[in-house]
Amino acid sequence: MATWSTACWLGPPGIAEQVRTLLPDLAETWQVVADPVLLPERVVDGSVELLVDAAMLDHRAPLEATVAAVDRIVATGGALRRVVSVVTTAWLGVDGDEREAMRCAAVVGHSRAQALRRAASGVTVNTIALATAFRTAEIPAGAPLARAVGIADLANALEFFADPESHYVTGQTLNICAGTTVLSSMSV
Amino acid sequence: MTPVQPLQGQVAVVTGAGRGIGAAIATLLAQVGAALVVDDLQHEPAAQTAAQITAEGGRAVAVAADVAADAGVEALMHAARDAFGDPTVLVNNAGVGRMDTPVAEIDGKEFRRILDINLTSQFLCARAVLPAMVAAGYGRIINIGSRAWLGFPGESDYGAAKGGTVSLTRALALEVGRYGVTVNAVAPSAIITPAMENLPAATRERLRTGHPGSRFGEPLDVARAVRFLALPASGAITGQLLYACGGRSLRGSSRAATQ
Repeated sequence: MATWSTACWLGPPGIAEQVRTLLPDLAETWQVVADPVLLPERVVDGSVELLVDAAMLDHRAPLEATVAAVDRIVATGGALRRVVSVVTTAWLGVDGDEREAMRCAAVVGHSRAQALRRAASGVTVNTIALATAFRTAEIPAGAPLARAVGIADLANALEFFADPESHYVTGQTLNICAGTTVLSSMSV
Repeated sequence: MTPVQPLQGQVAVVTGAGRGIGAAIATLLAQVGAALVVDDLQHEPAAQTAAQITAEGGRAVAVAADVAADAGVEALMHAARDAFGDPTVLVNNAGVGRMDTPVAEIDGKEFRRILDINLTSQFLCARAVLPAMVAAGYGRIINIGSRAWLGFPGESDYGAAKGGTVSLTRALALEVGRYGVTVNAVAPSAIITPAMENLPAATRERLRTGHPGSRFGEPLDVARAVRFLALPASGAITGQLLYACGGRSLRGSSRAATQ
């Protein structure tokens, strides 16, 4: 018995497939939308219970269109209960990639505002921030924990935030970074 | 066949676990396979939590120890090792809350007492379990903080102690990460506990409506966040503060903060 009937994944289909394999009981059916600009009508029919916005993991994804797609699903989602966005720890600031920092920080701010707006209706909105090195499966530079951050770590946190029992956790940004964000003044 | 539980074979120490949030944490960790060392200042509440765990088929031992004192921590860890072996999970939950106490009404002795119970206890217990965790190359330490660390009128002592919890968590995370030990904190807001029930009705109502969803959390809401961070699968998360606050910590205006 799956936790949710219908989930929607915005973002890279390859990562979606890995997450679905790791969490086979999270949702019965997944609607995977690689390009948020091309949001199909079936995604905004109000049936989505779990929305995972991982579009920012694709460098090419347009920020404005992604946020608009999330807003549209949230606004029309009568069944919606959990929203989990996935970004990278670039949201805290990253040398040499202002654009990535801006895109990820924008999603964090948007999630917190959505969490406040939706709190009374029981919809939780949280963000997972993966170490930027997750793309290469390398140990993040200077990581206190000498280990890489991977898709299994994403799946583990997604399972927690998506759990119906996690109803009192909302608006949070969880850095999964092997400890690399601890020296950032914005990481608490 | 019963599936292997994620904390099977592990030993968890939960301080202040006789009631409220600590009891919920101990119960949930036992449900995922850990053998529980249930600490409380008094024996009777600790024994009740331990009895509930064993009644559900888990393993638990009750220990009455004052974790704000060196001798109490020593006694607790000695009892833990005697019962089950070296702890692999430590949840520093013991604490005492304070509200609505203007700074002029807090004397130095009382301030130090609040720091001892809420913060020094966390340091002492972490220091006691770390050698074995470091030697084993594995460990999970979860400190219970509070959104009060952000600052709140009438909570200068309690807020300072919980701010110390955040700093302690981050420093330890950096210090022991290389040994496979993660150190994180969970920050609840107003949670319905026996202590909460003693508050004046007006204070309770102010607290409740200060939450975006206008509802209190329950001890299990905090316990679930602790269970998540205690999992072997959460090994890439360290030095983090996870709020279980119903969105109470999100607003960015002082008007909302002091309501």
